[in-house]
Amino acid sequence: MPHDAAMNHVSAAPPATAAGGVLSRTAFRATFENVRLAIEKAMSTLQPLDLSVEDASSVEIVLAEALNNVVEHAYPPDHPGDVKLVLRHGRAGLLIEIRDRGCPMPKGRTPDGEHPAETAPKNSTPEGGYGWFLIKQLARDMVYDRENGENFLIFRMPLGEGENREI
Amino acid sequence: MQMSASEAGGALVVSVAENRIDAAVAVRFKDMMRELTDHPAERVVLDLTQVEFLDSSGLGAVVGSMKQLGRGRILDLAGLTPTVDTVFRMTRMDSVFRIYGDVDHALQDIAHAS
Repeated sequence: MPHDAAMNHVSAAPPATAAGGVLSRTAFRATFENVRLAIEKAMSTLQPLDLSVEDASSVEIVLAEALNNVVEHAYPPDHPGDVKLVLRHGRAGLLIEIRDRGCPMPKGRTPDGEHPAETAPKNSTPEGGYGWFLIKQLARDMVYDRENGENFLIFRMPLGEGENREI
Repeated sequence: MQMSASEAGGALVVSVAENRIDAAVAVRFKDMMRELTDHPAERVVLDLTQVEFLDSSGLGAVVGSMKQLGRGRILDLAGLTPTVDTVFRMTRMDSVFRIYGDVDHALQDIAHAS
């Protein structure tokens, strides 16, 4: 039974292929504390890729938002289930796969990710709703599916796109 | 949650001695902000120099901290590290908060001192 952020951890970076070599597979109980540990582990796994500060920020933000969503919305607070995280590195960037056995996404799809201020009363700054906005701004090619009671979310984080802007 | 407050230049400077303000600590952060800002200073400068990561829960807690200050008081931010800066700018919070490079620059901005 997976119980913490460390499971089948593969640290050496395989060659980048289109399909994506697996960098790490992790499974853990869906709690905010474990998400924090899993992110720290993931970011150290990505060290050999020598990501730019910008890319590392984007990956860390999206991982936090997507995994915290599982903790907050997929499972009841008093009965957290497991979440699985797979990181692959391919020519198209970093491929992130997240699976859980909690409740499905509302309407069977990922939220639109509009800025929460767009639906808030004028002159009030919303305190929540920024998670999916950030994910949709930063992640590419997102696929959500549900099969045999399992949520499956996969998306790509482009790497190196901001390099030209730094010159 | 390690946080502290001190008076400087007519403002209350709240410093966060943690490297993450995330979903695991967002509620505690907002509670600490409520306690620490129970002070007459109208202006509060939140020093985020040591915070390397903030997620949407942390962002919500900072917005909530601004709201709980109440009418006539302001919350300014200082010392945003790259990832924290990305989150604030992407969510267009740079139009909600005044953001300074560091606490010294915030305190030198006398126009907003009270």
